[in-house]
Amino acid sequence: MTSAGGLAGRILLVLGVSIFVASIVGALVGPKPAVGEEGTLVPGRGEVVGLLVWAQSAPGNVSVEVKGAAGVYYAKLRGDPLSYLSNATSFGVRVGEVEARRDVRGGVFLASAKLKVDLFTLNFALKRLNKTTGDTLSMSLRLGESLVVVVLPAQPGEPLTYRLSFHSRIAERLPPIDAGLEGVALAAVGAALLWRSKIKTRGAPQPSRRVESRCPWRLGASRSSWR
Amino acid sequence: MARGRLSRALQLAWLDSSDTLRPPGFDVMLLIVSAVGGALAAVQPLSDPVGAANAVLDPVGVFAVSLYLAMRVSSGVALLASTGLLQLYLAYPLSRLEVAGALLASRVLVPVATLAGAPLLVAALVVPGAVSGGLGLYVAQYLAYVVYLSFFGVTFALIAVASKSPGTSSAGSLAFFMLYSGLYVILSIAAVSLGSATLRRLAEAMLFYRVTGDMLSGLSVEWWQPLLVPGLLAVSLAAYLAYMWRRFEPP
Repeated sequence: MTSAGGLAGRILLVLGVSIFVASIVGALVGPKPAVGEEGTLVPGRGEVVGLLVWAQSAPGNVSVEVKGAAGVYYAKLRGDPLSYLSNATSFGVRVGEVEARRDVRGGVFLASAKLKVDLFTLNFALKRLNKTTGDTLSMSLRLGESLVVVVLPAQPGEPLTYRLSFHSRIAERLPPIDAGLEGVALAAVGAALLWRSKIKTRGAPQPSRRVESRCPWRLGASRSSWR
Repeated sequence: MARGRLSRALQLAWLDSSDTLRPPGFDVMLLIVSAVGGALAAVQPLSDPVGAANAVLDPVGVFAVSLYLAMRVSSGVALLASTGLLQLYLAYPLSRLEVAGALLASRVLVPVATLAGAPLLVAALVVPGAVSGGLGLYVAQYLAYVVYLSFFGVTFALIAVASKSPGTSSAGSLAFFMLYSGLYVILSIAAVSLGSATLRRLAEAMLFYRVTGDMLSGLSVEWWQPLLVPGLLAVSLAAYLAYMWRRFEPP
């Protein structure tokens, strides 16, 4: 039968090893608080540019800077911004090229898109969006919220340069070295407990799957307590 | 008198747990769920306790623990019955219900509580910031996982005592788990294709920990959604206890 010390030792050993493994993985590919991208888009005739930021896994502050735009409009939404832009009933545009990526290390989805849109629909849609005064937009996003930015080009065919950045408020985590040491310490305590229980049970009858071994008075309980 | 019976039932549960928790199977499974759960916590940008618990257990933990239960609970209980050990347990000075309860504690509750708790403990130590702000929420979400996995454990135990064959019971338990998971996927797809909010909510309610996660995060849920899996657990538990009490016969 398993002794309590031996079981505790095994569990602590496993937990310690797990923490050590997690700290190594965290050090290699752990999340970073800031992600961003910048690029250039050349919208054609009848096209506008869409920039999307989705705080998919962590809340944070987003900053968008656009140069060469005639107007920058935005809306704060809940959920996937790409589905919002693709949904004709809510916005009335057709998404063209999308370069979207979800930065796992920052837990945020950043995307740029060219949106095909006719003038009538655009005028209708823009009334439902907010307009920025300058070429930079900064705001705070809660977990799951997203920001849709629609950029009107000054001239068709003229390049628009943009810069997206997101500083996430991810939870504080133990530095990998501290977590690793914690894991090693826990594993050492577990190994010591396991070793101690092995020494104590050396020479004692080993657990058996035979029926007689399940009689409780053979396993340390007093016979009288079972009467 | 009642204390003595409880003590004897606990003694039986402890005795039987040496089989459920025996190395190396239990240790390997514990290492896998803990290390994978810890690694998932370390690579994801966690920011809240409920999200942290889901990130650690939802993708791998539930599947791994269910598989373990299918092997050790279902097959193990059927092995007890087929080798005559269960008859020996029933010969102890305990009622059939107490023996059935002790078996549930050792075969379902202890492994579920340990295997679901260990990765959460690892995550809490690796990412303390995600947990410290809402320890109560973290523990509540852990309990939701325990309830959800216990539903499978109790159902597997029922399959085991009814079939009394290790092979049949483990295959039957796995089939039940796959059927339940498949039903969730079918309902989700049907809800989207038919545009039915009721089907969508039914599918959501089948994953108890997602419903509790929504509730703990302040999202609205239908009143019946958090009751579905506990209700199924109660039915399964009643069927298992009734079978052990009135119908179970040694093979």
